[in-house]
Amino acid sequence: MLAYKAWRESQVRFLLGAAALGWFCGVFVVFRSGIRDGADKAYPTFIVDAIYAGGIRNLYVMFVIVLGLGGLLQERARGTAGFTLALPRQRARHVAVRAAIGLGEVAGLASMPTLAVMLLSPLMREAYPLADALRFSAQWAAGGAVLFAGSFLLSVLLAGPYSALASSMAALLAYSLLVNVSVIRRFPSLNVFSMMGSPQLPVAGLVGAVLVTIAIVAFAAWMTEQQDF
Amino acid sequence: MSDAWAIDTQQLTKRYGTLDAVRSLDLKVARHGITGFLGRNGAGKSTTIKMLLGMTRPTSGSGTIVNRRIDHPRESLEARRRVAYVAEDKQTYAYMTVEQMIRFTRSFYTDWQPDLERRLLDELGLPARRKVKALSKGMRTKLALLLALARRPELLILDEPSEGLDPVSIEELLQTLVATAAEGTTIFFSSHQIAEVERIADRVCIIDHGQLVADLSLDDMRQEYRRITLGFTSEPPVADFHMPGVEHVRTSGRQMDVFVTRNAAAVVERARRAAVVSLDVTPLTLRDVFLETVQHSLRETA
Repeated sequence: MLAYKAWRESQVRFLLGAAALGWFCGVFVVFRSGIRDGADKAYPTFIVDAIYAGGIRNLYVMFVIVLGLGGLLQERARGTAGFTLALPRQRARHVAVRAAIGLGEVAGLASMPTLAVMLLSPLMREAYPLADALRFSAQWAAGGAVLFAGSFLLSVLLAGPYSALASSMAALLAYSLLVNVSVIRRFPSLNVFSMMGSPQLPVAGLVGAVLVTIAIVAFAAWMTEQQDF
Repeated sequence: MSDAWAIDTQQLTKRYGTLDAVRSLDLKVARHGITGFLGRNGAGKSTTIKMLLGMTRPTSGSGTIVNRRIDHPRESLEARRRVAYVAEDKQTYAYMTVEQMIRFTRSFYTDWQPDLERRLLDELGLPARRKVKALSKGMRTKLALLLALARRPELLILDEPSEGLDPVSIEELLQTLVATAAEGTTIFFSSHQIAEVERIADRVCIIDHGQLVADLSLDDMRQEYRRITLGFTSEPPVADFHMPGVEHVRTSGRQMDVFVTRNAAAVVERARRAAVVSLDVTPLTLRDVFLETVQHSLRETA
């Protein structure tokens, strides 16, 4: 039932994200000819440039950050932490369940472009390779998981309804500037954004993303065990 | 560890920076009956309760709750299966309906009693389909009580249960607590509402500045606790009244107030021998005891 609670707490954010991503991907596919350079590019190139490695990816990143927010410190602000903590479950279990549901939602959001592209392309008499679409979804899910874990951890560390969101956005901005520094650019696997839009399957990057996500969530669970409520 | 105690702490301390929220607290709450935990705002009541439930880690000291160590994660978890808690704000999840909240909570307890749940739902008049966020504070308190009581916990801990409630809701709450205690659940509740504590509690523990300053039975208080006011023609002989049962003595000019927790007759006898010109013995109420205890503790701290 902790999973039910985690789902109920995040469902509005998830459904809004899914609807927005689906809507914008649909608009790109259906109104391709009306978009600048849309008709000039080959359809698969257009899909990659506009969706998988373009503005829709940034929108996805924003929704992923918002999905990471929540947790026991935020519950304390709402006055429900006492009830939750009195339940006979370890705090680490609360954290793990919330992380699992959140990561499932991150994967769900990552699959929205694929769903929209695969469903709408035939209607526009176009085709996009399913294998490529699934590969991009996997890359988005892996990259999104790392960013989700980041805002998830900040939610565990910072009380107050807006401090976790504000600091997550600031951290995201700092990270995007950092990965563009020439020294860091030599290590493309450190750049989650380029991993998400990579034309080849970045196996090392995906494995690294999974490991980093697990490490951050485990640290968040450990931190939660240490906190006083 | 003793089976006699529902709560038993030794030298329990919680420090926040330089502030001692709870200081060397030795608290013992017997099984069965109702124990009030009385103290001013900021006296350390909520911090103590949070330490008992594993929400806050003690800085030092130890304790048990239903015979499970509070600082041992696995035992604290086991304790939470047997103990119910109603927090001060009585908030549950605003986005759920009453029946969803019940279904959610029920899933954590194997000893949940559906018959009792239905009875309480009926008695408390809770609207099953209404969302928690649409409930009044009184209704939220009733829901919190239902969630706590529907598994007949060994121990029910309530933090300021009547806070923010109207007089009718307070009355219903107190009656529910008395009925619950009669069915065998130990009740430990914090409050700074002396009248409520006096009405339903069997024992009272008073905490001030994080320290336990009194632990008394209300029956004993009613039978034994007295204020003896003595008038003298000259300076009162304070030293003569340092005797068993005398808690403290206060003088004001030629008048002396002696607070006794037992032995009032012996004090009166000694006063007569000391040639008092006036003598007045009055039973102490919980309010008197609380104010005396807290003020005495303040003077000692100063």
